[in-house]
Amino acid sequence: MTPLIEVRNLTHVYNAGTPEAVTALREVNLTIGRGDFVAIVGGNGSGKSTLAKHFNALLLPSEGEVIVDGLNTRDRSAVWEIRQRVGMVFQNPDNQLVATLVEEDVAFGPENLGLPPDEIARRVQDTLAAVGMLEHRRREPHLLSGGQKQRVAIAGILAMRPQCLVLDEATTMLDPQGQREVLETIARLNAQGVTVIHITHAMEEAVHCRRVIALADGRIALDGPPAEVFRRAEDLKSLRLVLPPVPALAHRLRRDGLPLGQSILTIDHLEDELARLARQRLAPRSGSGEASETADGAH
Amino acid sequence: MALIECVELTHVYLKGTPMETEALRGITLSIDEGEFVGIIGPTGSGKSTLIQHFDALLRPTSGTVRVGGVDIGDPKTNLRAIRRQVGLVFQYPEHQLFEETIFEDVAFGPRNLGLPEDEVRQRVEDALRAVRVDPEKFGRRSPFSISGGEMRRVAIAGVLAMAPQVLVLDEPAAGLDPQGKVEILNRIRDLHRSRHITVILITHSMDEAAQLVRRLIVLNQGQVAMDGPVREVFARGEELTAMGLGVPAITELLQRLRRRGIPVRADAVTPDEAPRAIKEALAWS
Amino acid sequence: MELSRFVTIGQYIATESPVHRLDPRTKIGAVTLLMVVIFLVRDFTGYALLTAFLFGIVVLSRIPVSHVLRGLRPIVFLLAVTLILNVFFSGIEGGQVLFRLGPLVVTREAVVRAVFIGYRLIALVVATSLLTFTTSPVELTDGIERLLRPFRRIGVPAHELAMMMTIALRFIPTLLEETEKIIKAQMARGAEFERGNVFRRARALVPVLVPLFVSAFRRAEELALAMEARCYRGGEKRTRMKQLRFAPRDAFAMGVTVAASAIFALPFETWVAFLR
Repeated sequence: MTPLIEVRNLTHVYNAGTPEAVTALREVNLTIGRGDFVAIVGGNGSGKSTLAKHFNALLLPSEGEVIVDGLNTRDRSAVWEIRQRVGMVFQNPDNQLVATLVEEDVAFGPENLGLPPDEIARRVQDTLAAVGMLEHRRREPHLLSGGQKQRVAIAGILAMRPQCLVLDEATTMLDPQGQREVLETIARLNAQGVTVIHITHAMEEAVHCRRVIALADGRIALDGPPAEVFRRAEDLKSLRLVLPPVPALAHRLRRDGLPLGQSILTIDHLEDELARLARQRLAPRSGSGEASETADGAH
Repeated sequence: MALIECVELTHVYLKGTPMETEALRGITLSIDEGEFVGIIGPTGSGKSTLIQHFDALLRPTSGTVRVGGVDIGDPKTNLRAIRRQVGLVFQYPEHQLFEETIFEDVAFGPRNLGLPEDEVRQRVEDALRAVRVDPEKFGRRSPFSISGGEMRRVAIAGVLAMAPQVLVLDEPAAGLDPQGKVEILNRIRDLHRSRHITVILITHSMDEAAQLVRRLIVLNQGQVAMDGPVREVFARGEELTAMGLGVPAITELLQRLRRRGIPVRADAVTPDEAPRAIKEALAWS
Repeated sequence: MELSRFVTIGQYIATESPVHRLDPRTKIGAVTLLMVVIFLVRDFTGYALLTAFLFGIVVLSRIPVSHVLRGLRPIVFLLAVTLILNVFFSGIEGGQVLFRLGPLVVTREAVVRAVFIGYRLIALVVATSLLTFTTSPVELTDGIERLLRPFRRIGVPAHELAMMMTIALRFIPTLLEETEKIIKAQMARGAEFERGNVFRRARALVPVLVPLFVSAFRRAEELALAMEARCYRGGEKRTRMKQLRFAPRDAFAMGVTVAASAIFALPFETWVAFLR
């Protein structure tokens, strides 16, 4: 099967040909598979939002090309098909809801697709239920919390039945409660088969993804499973990124000589590893002292 | 004498309408000169309402708020004098920038105080340096031509130029990337350490609180739920979790290790203290 | 949050009455008709009947009478000025003199006319606020869009107008909140908005207006992008989830309004003559 999104030699220059020309992306090559859960991380100015906007033809490449489900984003006639397939949730929850009622807003996308009224109503019902906002369907968006607004925005995208959901820093402006709500929602959607691309600068949000792509200065700097990417703490620092507290602590302890596994991402994992070490070191020495030599379980 | 003192402070929005909401319910607290206090609480717990009283932008529905001994509810109180003492930085303060140059924007506050122009200049340059924005290099540039993190720092300088005794910040690091966050928080820490400014910081991040403040006030549903040294507050992890707040990941880890019988020192809460505490507990040198 | 206390225009009150359930087009049509009738009525009988009719709708809509009257507060000043001008400076020559006040002559005809004009003003406000009290902004926009649709051929941008109205309604609360926040932030930097002469006060608004415009433009830009990402390309090929349907009750309501309007508008004597 063809990949969902294929990025070939993508370069993007803002204000090309003027003195203010800025190169935001440089020769990026990237393939995103169907059903994947990808985090794209990077600091300000790394080009991550520019990259995201190429996935649904909101921006077109200066050089190279982006192929979405076999459609080239340069093809003017394919634009609406591409946007139906790749939906996008933006950073500011206040600036992407169009209508004065939650259900009307969710209906906005399907209405643009020209679907029959019954079908739209069915989709609005289904997707609001999928993000847990059905009971708020008759409320006004400005009365909702940040997390609720973003869930409505997600429902509005889902109602177009896309194959891929791109979140362009959709958690940045939310409080921890709202962040949890959105992260739980997208994890659930991914489990149901929706491809999710989560753009963020919060590294802890990348922990539960399957793949992490770190951008720096318009280039892909790191690309791999979270455990592999987080292992390179020094590299991340130079990319304006900060390790989440737990992997950071694990990294520091390992640097100080504690024989901990390389792939510690979660608090449960670090707790278990430390408890194992403690058992070896603090238990009455009954002839099993040499066990600590094999403590580094991952290797 | 306490710098800021609230006694049975209650605030009701839209009183007498169907939309009436009670945001604060009987808050009693006092903050002394030189403190570094964190205010934490779930959304809607009344944090923003509370700090607007510190700057006399809201007046109590009932109860009293005293700033430097002066009752802000008293109609005769000079509100300008209060606002000169207390510098309030709202969330996303860069959205309030309006002047043509960075220098002019930062000068807005001191000019409102009616200071002579050379003193204004002095204050602006001083404030910009305090947030590590070079006045020579940036002073004449437009505040809309710089990065988000820089705009935030310029906006904070705009409040610092009022030379307040107390700096109150509502989520100063919200929305910034990790480096931008570290930069802002370090500047605030510097202000507290080197200029002895009293700092009151609203934050959503337990990790930020653990690293910065000494005293933590937890608000929940318009009331003070906890108030004490950071370590003591974090020790009540279950109550915090019930409010939807939780404790910092590192604190949680250390607590779990203790529960498993590993003798980690109970007073270690920050990422800097944790590695040593763990190594000591494991008798690792 | 505090600002919304002062903004009560077009307040929808969900009392779920039979009036609420009418098609918005019916209500817009009926109110338009009543507005015309208000200007056609010429005698006391007509006004009495019209008052009874409007009162009947208020009762039927379950909106508290006190609330309807409160909606008149903003026009009290206008009403007073209108009354005084018409009583004292009617320009009506002759007529039955009621009393003199220095050089001013007050005639019976002038008083009658002043009362009529004042009454028309009140009736207009009551009729239109009944529409907004019983019709949500969403329905109102839908109704207007669909009523204007036939005029698209002659260049009336029905869809665009409705979209603009929706977006305006959606962002009014957001921008009010933002304005309040900016005002407070500048006050925290020592700004004062209530001191000095008109010129100084106008200047004091610059630190509020500039950030507000910057933010409104940023919001507009982001909203446009979000709409594009959701396949918005104008009104063509667009369908709507909610379909407006005329029900028998709409025909009934419209019929009653038309009949009532005819009765109110024609002079009492005409009816008497007709019935004979």
